Amino acid sequence: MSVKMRRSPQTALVLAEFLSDEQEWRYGYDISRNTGLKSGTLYPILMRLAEHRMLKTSWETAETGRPPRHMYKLTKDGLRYAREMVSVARELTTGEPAFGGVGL
Amino acid sequence: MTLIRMVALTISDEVVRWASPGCKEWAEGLEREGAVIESDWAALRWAIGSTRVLLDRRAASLTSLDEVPAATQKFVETTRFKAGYVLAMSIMQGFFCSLRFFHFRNSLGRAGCTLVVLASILAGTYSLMERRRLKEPWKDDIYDDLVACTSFYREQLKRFDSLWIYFSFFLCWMLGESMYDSASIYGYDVIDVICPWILVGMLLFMLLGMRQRKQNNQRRIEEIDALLAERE
Repeated sequence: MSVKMRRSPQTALVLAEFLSDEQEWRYGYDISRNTGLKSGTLYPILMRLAEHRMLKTSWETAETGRPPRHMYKLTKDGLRYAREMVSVARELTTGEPAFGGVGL
Repeated sequence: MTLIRMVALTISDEVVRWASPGCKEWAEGLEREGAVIESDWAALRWAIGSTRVLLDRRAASLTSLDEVPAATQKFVETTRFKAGYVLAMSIMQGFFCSLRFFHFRNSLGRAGCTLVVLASILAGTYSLMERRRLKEPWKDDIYDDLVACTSFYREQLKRFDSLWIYFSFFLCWMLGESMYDSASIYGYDVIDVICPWILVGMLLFMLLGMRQRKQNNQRRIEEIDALLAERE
């Protein structure tokens, strides 16, 4: 893809958060709380991931009296990229290669 | 509802209202998340952070190739309108500057005027050529042929040199105006001190706009490519 994905520590944090439960749909605020990233930092990352077709989005099925929430989940490409990036980030921080771990 | 919560809600509503078509879904997502945050201050911080979405100006994504003709037509109309605007500006700028030329007795002022007039002539000619190159959409049958239209649109999106050419004309105007301003018989005043900074700000604004435009065009090309790949 010609528009490159920025490999920032914040992106690695978000990807690691998605990897902590790969099959679950995640909410923006939950990701923000778990990663400590503010909405103004988190959403541009999510938008970039979606733009690169690494993230799929969906609207939650509405419960009565509550507006539906926007949910996010990594695609197959996204999962592959996330594992690779988290592994690189871990190598950089610990100096050791990561085998199978998902956290930073 | 507390005052802080009301402020947070108002900010979120405004973000959704002013978000570009391509970011609307994200702005709405942010707004809905804000509604589930229990702490009022946290909701306010969340809403303030959401304003970041407003900086990203992008068109709504193409969902099918059938939308390409309409997108092409809009693109052509916008580009033609902008070229028309530059043409009008060039005529005005060139006309008034050529009148000013005779007021100056020194070579710096005259050189400044000459630069602005020359840049205006070139900008006017170029924008006229651009308008002619992109034919009036309603007179062209390209929109009836999806393959030809997609190929034409893709080609136009790739053409980024026109923005750099407009930028060079603007730079020449700015330089010429600075030259004859400094040669003015009235000398420097407050406006002369502020103006260069406004112009530098405008140049930076133009550069940022060009960067965003390039990204948007690239994004659109990728969308078209993905839709073409899906179709095959």
